[in-house]
Amino acid sequence: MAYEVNRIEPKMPVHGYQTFGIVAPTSTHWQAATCAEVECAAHVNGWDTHVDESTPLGQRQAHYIRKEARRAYSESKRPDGLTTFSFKAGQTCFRQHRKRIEREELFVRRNGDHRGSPDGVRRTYDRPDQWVDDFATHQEEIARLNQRG
Amino acid sequence: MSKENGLGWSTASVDDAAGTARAIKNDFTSLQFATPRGVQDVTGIDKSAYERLLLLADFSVTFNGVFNDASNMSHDVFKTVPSTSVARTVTLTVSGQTLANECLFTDYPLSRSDSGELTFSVPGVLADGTVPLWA
Repeated sequence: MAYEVNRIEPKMPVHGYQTFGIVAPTSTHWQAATCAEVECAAHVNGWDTHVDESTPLGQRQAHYIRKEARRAYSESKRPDGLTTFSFKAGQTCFRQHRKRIEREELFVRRNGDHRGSPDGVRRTYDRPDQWVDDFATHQEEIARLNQRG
Repeated sequence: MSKENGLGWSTASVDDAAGTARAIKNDFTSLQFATPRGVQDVTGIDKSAYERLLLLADFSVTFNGVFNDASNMSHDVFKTVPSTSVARTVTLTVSGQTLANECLFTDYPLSRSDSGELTFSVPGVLADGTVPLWA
């Protein structure tokens, strides 16, 4: 992962863990969606876009909004010099949306945790109930050992 | 086994900061539970039985998904993670079996990819040290 995530570090080395996962990759389990389909807040409530027209990027953004975006807006200046474009509800916002498609997810088990996999071993299950059975059996064994002390 | 929608994974609910379960399965791209492999992996670094109990109960979770700011969906649930420290119930239902965990989440970073997608990653650990069992 390219950015830092605040985690509580595991107590054991990476080879002391295995991971049970359910995966729905964006490439295979998602498709593009409209604002209305995902009920995005900008579409439902309207939104403000603040632009710094003292920079080349801000000038390009403002030009896009005024000349090319084809959205209804009102314009005002903030005390700090930024331009605020206020868009009314019901319009397509500037974000790209995706929504899940109805397709069975991938049910996997692999050695390791979020730090990686020590050996690359990964199993993908044919059916979700097999994954549940394996996961449940593993949990019961851990609980039994934990109880025994 | 009952299936609500014909697919194996029917439910993923996470409590919001107020303790209300929100069904947000459709926002996830992946959900992962890291569990101890077994006692043989733990024994080598054991110092005491007490420590081994702690290690055996050491579970972490990671949820990844696509940003969704619709009412009571993932952003509503996770936006309070940085500002609160409450244990939240996570409930999974797969093939008619349910796994309920009390989790403490520690972050809610958002990332924009080159293609414009806004995605999140939420890490957490079990809050109470009890091994969660499928039922």
